[in-house]
Amino acid sequence: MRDRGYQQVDHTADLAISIWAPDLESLFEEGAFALVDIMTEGAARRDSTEGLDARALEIEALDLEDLLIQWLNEVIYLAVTEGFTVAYAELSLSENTPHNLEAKVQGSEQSQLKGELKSATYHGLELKKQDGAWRAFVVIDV
Amino acid sequence: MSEIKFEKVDQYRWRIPQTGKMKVPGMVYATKEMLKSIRMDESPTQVANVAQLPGIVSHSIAMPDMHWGYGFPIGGVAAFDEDEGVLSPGGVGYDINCGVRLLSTNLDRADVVDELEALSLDLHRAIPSGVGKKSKLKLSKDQLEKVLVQGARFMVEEGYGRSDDLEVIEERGEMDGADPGVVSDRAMKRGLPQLGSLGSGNHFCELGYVEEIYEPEAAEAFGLRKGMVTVMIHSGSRGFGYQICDESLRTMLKASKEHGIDLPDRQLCAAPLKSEAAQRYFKAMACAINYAFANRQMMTHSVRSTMASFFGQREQELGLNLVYDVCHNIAKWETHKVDGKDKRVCVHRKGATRAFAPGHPDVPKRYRDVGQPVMVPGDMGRYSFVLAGRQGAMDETFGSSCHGAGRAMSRAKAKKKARDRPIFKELQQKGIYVRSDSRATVAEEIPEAYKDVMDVVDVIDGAGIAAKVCKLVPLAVVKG
Repeated sequence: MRDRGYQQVDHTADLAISIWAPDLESLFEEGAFALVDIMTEGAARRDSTEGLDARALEIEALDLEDLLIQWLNEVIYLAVTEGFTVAYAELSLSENTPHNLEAKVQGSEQSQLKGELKSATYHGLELKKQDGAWRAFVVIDV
Repeated sequence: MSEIKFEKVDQYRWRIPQTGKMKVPGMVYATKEMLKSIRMDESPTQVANVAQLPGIVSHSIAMPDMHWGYGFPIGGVAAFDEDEGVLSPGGVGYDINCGVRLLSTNLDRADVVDELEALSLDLHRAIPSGVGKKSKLKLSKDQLEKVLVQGARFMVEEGYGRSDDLEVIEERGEMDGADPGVVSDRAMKRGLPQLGSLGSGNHFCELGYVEEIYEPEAAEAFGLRKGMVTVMIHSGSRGFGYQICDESLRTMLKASKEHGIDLPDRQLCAAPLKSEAAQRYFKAMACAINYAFANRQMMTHSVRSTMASFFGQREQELGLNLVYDVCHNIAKWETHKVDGKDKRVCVHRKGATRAFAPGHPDVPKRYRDVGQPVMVPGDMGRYSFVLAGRQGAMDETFGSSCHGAGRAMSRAKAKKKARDRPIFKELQQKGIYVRSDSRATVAEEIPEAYKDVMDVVDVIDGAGIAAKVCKLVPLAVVKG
């Protein structure tokens, strides 16, 4: 298994994803990729940064889990309101307080979204470090 | 799997005894058979969790269509004391004022049955539906702010509806207390392009007909007769409501901490009703409620003008009267009898519908003798029901009833089941035309993905909460 990635997990009413990565920043990046991949029905690409637009983002949160949810919702917001789908993210964040992140995201303003995601939720939310890797479980309202 | 123990009260009522940190017992409306599947997710635990919230009155309630939600179960009802109680966004839901409205017509099934293919196409074109589909309205920010305060009334005054529509909408389509000043720019940005659009997932616009009448007096009062073509619209506050909910959770989490509210689940975050946080959320929620009313009003207009055009008749000649519009994700102030005395409470209904009994002053005059209409949509392949509120609802559930069927199967499983199947053709063979830009959405919404709404409605009827008035069968469905 790759050291980073995501998987859709069965959930009755909505969509659940399991995300993993070797470090926290990569986990956040994988999370963004997961959402874009789902919204474009598998068309998310990370082949090259050529022709991509860049944005700077800053988020302040109550705690690390809240930071993840806000980050994912930011990705959804950009896609849904501006058609901007995140391909790459360079994040700077910390496990410790204050729970902020700064990110430079690169993506494209195409975008024919196929699937609609409404919001990442706290439902059954898990974010933890396990055996040297970071894992998260998030339910997304669709 | 929920470990909660139920105590049988009768064949339709199951108590969750008050234990541990619960402040009141739980009450679930279901049959023994339904409890088997209800137990398969954590929704019974969620009912017990809600019972832990401060100021909850009488019982933490769940309807027969209950299932796992965010904090509160879907199908959950809880009322809170105005002094000791709390307001919780999880008790309203992300899709604030997701709701249903029903139109009656002067058309008979025979008038439309050979036109379904063409008519459904016209309806599909007229109502923006699906992912990223934007509204045909071009609203300014000022106009949107008016929508947030005036709700359906704004649309009617702009020419998108009839003035007597307002009488037959819950809250007259205009929720008091809305304040656009507390709405973020993000929410406005999300809401502006989407007004008048259906949304995706389980939202729909459905042409159907009245197949069976159970209560002739109520059916007549509602203007429904056997064989009559009806139109049902199911939609909410779109991205606007989601943004409001998401933003409120953070504020409420902080408030829960500040006020020392012990949360069994983060998504039950709440603030005392009298607190600034609660009042702020209420003002924002009211904006979203009005947005959804305006949204359904706009789509009603689209349906009316499309059908008038299609049949070459004036709207009014086709009838297309609004029967009623109900909310199923909402929190509001109501007065209910508790221990024999009138008590002002904040009722949260999440995936539950108001169902006021005959005689209640909030039931429109024309329906006051028979009770408030309640629309309960089922899946697109079987049927939906119209009910009328009964005294049982006033006595036991803070005037509340069920809202739908509830999913039986995950979206992924449904998609798998639908793979390689001609799902559109299957429905067509049953006489149902489905229009959607997304096969994937329709696959997720196949009839077998849902529980049988008849089971849900039979419990509500049997328990005396609301009575079955008629059954509607789909003919054409526009899906997002």
